[in-house]
Parts: sequence; structure tokens; C-alpha cells
Amino acid sequence: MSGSAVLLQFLNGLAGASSLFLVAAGLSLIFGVSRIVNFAHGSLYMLGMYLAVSLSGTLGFWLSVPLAAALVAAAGLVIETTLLRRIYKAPELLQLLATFALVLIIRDAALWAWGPEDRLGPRAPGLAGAVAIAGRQFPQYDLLLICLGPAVFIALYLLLSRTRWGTRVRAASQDREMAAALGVNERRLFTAVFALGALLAGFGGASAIPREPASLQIDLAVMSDAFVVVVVGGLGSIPGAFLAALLIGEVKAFCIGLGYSELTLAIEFIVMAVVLVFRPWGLLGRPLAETRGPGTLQPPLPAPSFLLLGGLAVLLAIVPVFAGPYTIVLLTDILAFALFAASLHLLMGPGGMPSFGHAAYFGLGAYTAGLLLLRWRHSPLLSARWCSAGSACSSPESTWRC
Amino acid sequence: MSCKVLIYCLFIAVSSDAFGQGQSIKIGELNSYKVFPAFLEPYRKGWQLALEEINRSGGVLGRQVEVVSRDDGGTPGDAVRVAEELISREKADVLMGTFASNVGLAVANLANQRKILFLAAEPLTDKIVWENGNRYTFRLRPSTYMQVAMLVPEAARLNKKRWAIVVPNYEYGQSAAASFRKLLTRAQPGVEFVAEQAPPLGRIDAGAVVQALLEARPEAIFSALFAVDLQKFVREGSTRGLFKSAAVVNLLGGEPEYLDPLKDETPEGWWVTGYPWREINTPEHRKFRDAYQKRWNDYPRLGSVVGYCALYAVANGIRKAGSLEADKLIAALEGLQMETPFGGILWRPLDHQSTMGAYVGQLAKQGGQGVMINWHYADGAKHQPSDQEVRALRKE
Repeated sequence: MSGSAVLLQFLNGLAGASSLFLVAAGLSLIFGVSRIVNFAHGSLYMLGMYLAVSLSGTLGFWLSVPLAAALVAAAGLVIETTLLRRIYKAPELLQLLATFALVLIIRDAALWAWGPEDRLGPRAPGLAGAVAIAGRQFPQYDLLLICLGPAVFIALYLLLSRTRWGTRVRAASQDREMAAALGVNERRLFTAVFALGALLAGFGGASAIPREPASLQIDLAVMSDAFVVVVVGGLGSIPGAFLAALLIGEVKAFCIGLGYSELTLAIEFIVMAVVLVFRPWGLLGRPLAETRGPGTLQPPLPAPSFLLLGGLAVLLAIVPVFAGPYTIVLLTDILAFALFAASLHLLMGPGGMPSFGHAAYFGLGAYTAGLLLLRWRHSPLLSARWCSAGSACSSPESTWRC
Repeated sequence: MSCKVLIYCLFIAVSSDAFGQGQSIKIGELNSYKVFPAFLEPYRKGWQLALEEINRSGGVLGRQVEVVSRDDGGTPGDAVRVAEELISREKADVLMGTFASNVGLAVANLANQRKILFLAAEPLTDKIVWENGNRYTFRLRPSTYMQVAMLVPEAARLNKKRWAIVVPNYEYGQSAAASFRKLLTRAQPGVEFVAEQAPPLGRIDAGAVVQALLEARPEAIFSALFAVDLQKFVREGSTRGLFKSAAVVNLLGGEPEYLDPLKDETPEGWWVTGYPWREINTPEHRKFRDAYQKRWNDYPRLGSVVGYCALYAVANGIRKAGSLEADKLIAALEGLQMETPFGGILWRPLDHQSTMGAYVGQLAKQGGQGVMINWHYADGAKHQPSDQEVRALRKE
């Protein structure tokens, strides 16, 4: 790469980092205070995009961005007060599931409201063209984006460190029970923080429309990017999110610049793995304060009687005699999932490690079994044994990473 | 008089209830409606229109046709479960549908195991009729290979030496890139490929990709991008001046599903495959377009044509076979000739691919909308590898 190519890819990376930071900051803020990984954050971003695209038709681009952000903040307010507020005491996984349900609901609502077609937003009036930098054309709007990220970062930093409200937020994210005991109105604080997070997501989405069309698939795509940024930066840390967004934005841009575009999906997770090995709490993260009593622990499974187990086995064994093929397919699926759920329980319950990566072993096992079956005509049972060995071999690597 | 009409209506209602429902022909349809709504909503409207027409004209073999439609969730695992449900619980006589290549291949494999006819409507992968082809699977749309082959003559005519390639990084994109390299090198010896970018599907980082392409200074670009990726690529590319210096050939770029969102940013002069629905005025297409617009109060997209033809293909196959047995249906579909809005097509006995073609033309702007100009219909029958090559690929 020539010098000017490096400069241009560096600028591309900065622009990408800015828009990543806008979403990640909101996600991190919400997590810091309420300890909820808000899966619907990407959906709020998507909502911001759609609102900005349709509002810009009548109001023009520049007015539509703050308005869309405000509307998304209002939506966040409603979501927090009607849904999330009721489940703060539930186990973390249930909260995750509830926000995931929101993802599906918001996507269907967007499909209903705006239809299935992608919507390409307008260019930003006044910044529609390009400027010459080092003999290349660089979009003017991207220059604005490059400034936007740091500007929002400074505003958030001042808000959190210089205002009374910010002090409360920081207190709650360090130890929310103690903050509550000292008289901070937790409810109102949570609502306000969630609305602020939603505002940032909506703003991120709305400000992205000159670069990216609004589409129904953007929600989870943005969410996974933002999640990586938040984890790399350190859960709950805004400066960390800023640093991580810069790191990932630049790594991605140079990945493409050097001709390894196939890697762009994997590279952010590789960066994440590397960072977590050296700094398990993320770049600027700290070990989380112990949360007291979120959800009750389930009692361990009481040993069922042999009679019950035997009866169940016999029942399953005779199913093929009287049931149609569809029942068997369904039962196979149910049993496979039950097995997987049991293994996940082992990891998350007694093991105490909530793991997103556990499904990878499921996939690894399935691939091993499938390949053995196809290539060497192994019997499924035999290949099942091989594939558990295969998954077991790959697990020390990830244990080390944890 | 009105009493007579009433009795008549009652009679029809009762008789169709008694005979029609019990014996209707059941077609199990599955597709990723929630994952790819932009293409598949029009597709659904297409087969619904065909279904209404078929049943209004008396059904097939004197029986009404019923379509049991399911969402396949967009993953091979879910699709196989849904297909299994359609076969064993709904007792579907034929399977039809699917969009993504991997899902299509999974259902094709199941159809082979369960010995049921599967008409793959949309998946573009070459493998579904070649490497992984099987007796029970037929595919309607022109494959990736065929569409690339339709564009290669135009690409060669541009007479450019330095080419760059940008494709989404999955089966469709990779095989498009491979076919293009092979066919263009054959048509224009000495051509050079100076850069290849394969961003993840739906997640292109357009600014960086365009910049990287510019650095390679290509004279022309072959792209297989579509949907969101295409829109982002077009916007960044025109802002950064990529298309001033390079001609572009883009697979699928003229399909209304992907062209319409571009509006006044439509890049002019690109060679694309697509569907200029407004300007095709053959009698068969005009008839289809009028019926579609009357029924749905909307214009047809390419998905509409695919859904419409897929259901007609199944109906015509059953009609010719005079039976619902898979073996007789296969025999009937092999070599079946039928009319479609694009003209007559043939179902090749060799590899179970239909000869449906695509329209090849150039993009232009008219009144703030993207349209295709200088277009012609590329017949699918003429853009195939030799029979020998196909036989070598199809291991049967």
C-alpha cells in the first residue's frame, strides 16, 4: 500500500469507528447500570434508521436525525417502564431472552410499518460530495462522522464526571444496592439511563443513513459488532468502548485495504479473543462488583427414580412402532436439544460460566458426525462417539481463553 | 331467478366441500419469508396468483390445488424439519420453494431420501443441479453459471484488460467469481484480474472496499453484490469516483428488488441481468403483468415471476403425468415444455434445470428511477456448458 492509500484507509477506519462507538456507548452505559445485555440495542439502531429515512422525506436530513433519535429515546422509555423494569430481579439469562424477544417484535413492527424493501436514505445536504485528500476522493460526510464520535464521547464524559446525575450513574454502576441504600432513586435512574442509551442508538442509526440503507437485517448485524466493541473495551466502560471502536474500526479497514476482505467478520472476534487473553476484563474494564441476589438459584436436579427413568426409556423405545415419521423427527430434535441444554446447564449452573460459544461445540460435533457419515460411511453411533472426542479436544483451547 | 342462483351457489359450495377438499392436490411450499422479505413477498403474491388462476379454471386432473406454505427460517436445519413436516404430517404431494443456496441444497437432499419431487424455485447455486443434483430435484431460475455466461459476452465486448472482482463471500459469490474468471479468460485471452474483494454478505464495509479497488486501478469491475451491499457499494463508489474510471458488470443488478431502492443514484451504463417489467411487451408477459397488477395493485418483481412460474410448472407436470407418483412426475417434468411470462421454457432431462432465461441490459435513470435499457432476453438454453461437462459434474 502506498502512503496515501494508508492514510485513506486510516480515515475510513476512523469513520467506521465513530459509528461503531455511537451504538456501543449506549449498550455499555445500559449494561453498566442495569447489568442487562440489551439485545434489542441493534433494533433501536434500526428503528433510528427507518425513522430518519422516512422523516427526511418531509423534514430534510438535518432535522430528521435529532428527531429520530428523540423518538427512539421515547421508545426506549416505554420499553424500560413496561418491560425491563419488571425483570431486573430475574436471572440474567431471562433478561437476555426478553430483550431478544424485543428484537423479533421490533423487526416485525418495522416490516409492517415500512415494508420489506430496503430504504436508501438521502445524502446529507451540503456534505453530499467528496473532498480531495492525498489525491483521492474522500466523502465529506465521513469527515463529519470522524468528528462526531469524539464529540459524543466528550459530551458523555462530561455528563458522567461533572454532573450530579452522572455521579449517581457511576455510583449505581459500581454498586447499585449501595447506591439505592444511600437514597438514589434506582427506578428513575434506570429509566433515564436506558432512555439515554436508546437515544445514542437512535442517533447512531439516524446518522448512518447517508452511508447505509435501512434494512430489516441490520439489527443483529449492528448488535454483534457493538457487543464485540463493548466486550473488548470492558463492559460498562465508555472510554473503553471508544478505544475498542477505534481498534476494531482500524483493524477492519486495513484488513480490507490489504486484500483480506474475507476476514472482516472473523477479525473482530480474533481481536476480541486476543484482548481477552491479556486483559480478561477488556481494555479498560474492571472486575464487576458482586451483584447481590439476582434471581434465586435453582435447586439441583433431584435424582429421579429408576422406575421413572426405565419407564421413559421404554416409552421412547416403542415410539417408532406407533408414531409416524414426523413425530420421530420432532422427538429426535427434542432429544438433541435436551442433550445440548443439559450440557449448557453443566457449564452455566455448576460451572458458573455463561457461555455464548457453547453452541460452537454443538456445531463441531454435528460437522464431525456429518462428515464421517458422508466420507467414510461410519455408522451414526460410532461417528457420534468420534465427534464428542473431537469437541473435547478443542475445548482446552477455549478453557484457556476464559 | 335469484333463488335458483342461490341454490346453484349452495350446490357448488357443498359439492366443492365434499369432493374438493378431501381430494385436493397438496403442494408443500417452504421459503425464508422472514429473512428475505424483499424478494419473497412478491414471490408469494406470484404463486398465489397462479394458484387462483389454476383453481378458477378447474384445477388439475379435475381436483383443486392447495398450497400449504411454511416459513423455513432461513437455515438448513429448520428447513429440513419444516419439509419433513410437510411430507409426513401434511401429506404434501410435491415440495416447492426455498431461496438461499444452502437451504435449497438441504431440502434437495431430503427430497432425494424421501423420494418426493422438489421444485427448487429460487436458489441459484450450480450445485443443486450439478454436483449435488439428484433425480427428485428440479430448479427453475437460471443458475449462477448461466447468468454469468449471459453477461460475459457484454463484458468481453467492453474490451478492458484490467478487471477487479467484488462478490459477497458465500457460495453464490464465490461460484460467480470462479465462473466469471473462467468464461472471460476463454472469451478474451490475456485478460488480467488485478484485485478481488469478498466482503461478508450484507456486511460490506463499502468505503474501505471501494478504496481498495481504486488502489488496484482496474479498467472494469465484475460485481455480484445485491441488496444492501449493492446500495452501499453504489453510493460509496460514485462519491469516491470509482465508476468514472471503471466500467461495471453486475450480476442481478437489474432486478427490481435490488434496482428500485437506488432511485436517482442508479449508476448509468452498468451491464446487469434483471427484469425490465415495464417494457417487456410480449403478449404472454403483458397478460401476466395485467393480471398481477389487477390482483395486487402493485407491479411485478422478479420474485413474482419466479413464484408464478414455479407453481405453474408443478401444475403442468402433474397434468402431464396424470398422477401424483414421484416417478411419473419426474418422467413428465423431464422434457416438459411450458409457457411462462418470459416465453417458452423447457425442463432439461439432462440436469433438471429449466431453460428460463434472464434479461441482459444496461442501467439508466429515467425520471428519478432506475431502469434497464438496450436490453435483450438471454435464453437459458443457450448459456449452458456442454452436455458432456454437465454429465461429468452430475455423478449419477
